[in-house]
Amino acid sequence: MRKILDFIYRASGYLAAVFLFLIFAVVIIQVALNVINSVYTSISGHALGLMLPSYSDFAGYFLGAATFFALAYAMQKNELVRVSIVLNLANPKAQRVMEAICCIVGLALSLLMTYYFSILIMESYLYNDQSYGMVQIPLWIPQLPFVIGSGVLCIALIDNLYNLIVNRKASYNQVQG
Amino acid sequence: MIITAAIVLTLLLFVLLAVGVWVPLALIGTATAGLLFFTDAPMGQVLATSIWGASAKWSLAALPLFIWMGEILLRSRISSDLFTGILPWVSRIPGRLIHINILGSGVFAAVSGSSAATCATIGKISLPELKARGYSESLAIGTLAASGTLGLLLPPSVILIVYGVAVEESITRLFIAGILPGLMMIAIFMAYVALWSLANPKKTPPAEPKTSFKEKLSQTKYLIPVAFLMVAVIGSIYAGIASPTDAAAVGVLFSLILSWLYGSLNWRVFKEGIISATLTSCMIAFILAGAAFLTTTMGFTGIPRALAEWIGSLGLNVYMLLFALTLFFMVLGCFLDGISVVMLTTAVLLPIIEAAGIDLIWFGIYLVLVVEMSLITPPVGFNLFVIQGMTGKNIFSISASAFPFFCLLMLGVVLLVLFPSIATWLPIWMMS
Repeated sequence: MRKILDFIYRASGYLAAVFLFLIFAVVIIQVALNVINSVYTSISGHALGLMLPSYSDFAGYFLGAATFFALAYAMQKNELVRVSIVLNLANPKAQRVMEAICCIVGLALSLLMTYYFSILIMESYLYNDQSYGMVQIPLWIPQLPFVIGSGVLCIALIDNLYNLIVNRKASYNQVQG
Repeated sequence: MIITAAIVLTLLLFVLLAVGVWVPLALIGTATAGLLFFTDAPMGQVLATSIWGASAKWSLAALPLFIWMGEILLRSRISSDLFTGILPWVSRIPGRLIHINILGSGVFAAVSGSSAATCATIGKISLPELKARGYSESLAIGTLAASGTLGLLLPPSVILIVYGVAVEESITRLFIAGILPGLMMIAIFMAYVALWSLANPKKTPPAEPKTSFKEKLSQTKYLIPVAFLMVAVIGSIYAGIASPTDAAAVGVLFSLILSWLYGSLNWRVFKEGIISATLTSCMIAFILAGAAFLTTTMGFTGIPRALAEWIGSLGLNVYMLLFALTLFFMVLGCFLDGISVVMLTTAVLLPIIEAAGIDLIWFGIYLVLVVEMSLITPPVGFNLFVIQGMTGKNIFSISASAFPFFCLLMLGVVLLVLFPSIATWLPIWMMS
């Protein structure tokens, strides 16, 4: 079970990294096209106008996907910032209670996010919402990572809560690598 | 009603943060509670649309790319090259090699975008070198802690991107506005080191053997790659050829090429860099999303407007207001990281700033300078802990080393408040 869960977090995190790379790819291709355009214009005097359609929309959507796919992995790797001053001062027992409160609050909020993002997607799908750019993309597609990412975060928080109760230690304090 | 809402929500936020709830989730939780209990707005819809709207944004796409560029450079040989390249130029001025800490950290922090990583990376090279040559360790630690923070101000700065996106100001203008104050702080630090060395000649080791101009030039070639990178990235933004996001992508490409030329690029380094960048960028973007939701909620509750009116009715002048804000940010900065401080400010305090007639570009620079200061606030600043982890020295002796520089940063804040044009002049001049 431990292995499966860690695999899910890692897979989701690596997927986020792929999206980060895609942002880079889209933007750098457009920059290259801009350079070709201006060289062509300066030589021939005519505009060439090469363009990756809606590249700024795509970069934005990829960023959203990268952020939300990475959430659970970031939490497990202790990369999400939190104020730990009080936690560090508390005795182990109080620490566990506080960690449990954090996980419960976090779980409630991520369930809320998952639920309302799902509704957002359903509405986008039913009303056939499209992006405004040159390439019209049905909005539910770039919104999907928000639901999946929040969902995986819910799983991670349940996992942590379970470990706190059974093993007396949250899994984000144990996972290495 | 508004007062109750303000008090309840502030308390809730502080309790959530104090218990240890992750900052972005604490922001989302406070906003959710605010909408549920103090407004009639449809909570779920506001949550989903404001987080979605704040997360999938073109202007924010510069953020992960600049972070990634920093991660690639951190894993390259660039920091030791900086040391070698700067060395011959500072070895004759009072304070000598200590200036490498300031200049090297300043440049490295600017391109890497992380003050903690700068302290660790530059410090790993410079601290042993300086110690071996007999320089005052306290001065070396102080300059290292302080100069690492300069990356927040010198472009391309991640925190300025976050601020610009949040208050909807041009990131390019913010980048330009940060240059002079950043250079001013470098100059102030260097002047202090020079004066200190003149006053304490016994604690300053003798000069390095004199190098010929030709030798100097040949060592300077180590600076060419990093200079090229800075010119390509920052120059293209300022020339107006590229948006910050475009420039960030170019920066990533050049860093990859540079790292490949150094021979330090392999699959493992590439993978580590991009994963690390993904996690950092996720953390920052999620805080931004939570703060956007909180900002929307605040708009519904009317708290910021009421707060602005209340502050307005006190008849404070701008200086008193800024003094109060500085204290407030310093306290916040002891508990929260810089980006969270900036996001909380923009969510709640922006109407106050606007009502007081303060220029938002100037305010961004001021805010970042105060955040820099909070990074080395004795004895709780974050950079101090980074150096503690590196040197194993006790936190109070490190605080004492950093204290003069904390005061110098405060001097910088005062100068910025008295002479706002330090930040506002360059953007106006360049964009006209």
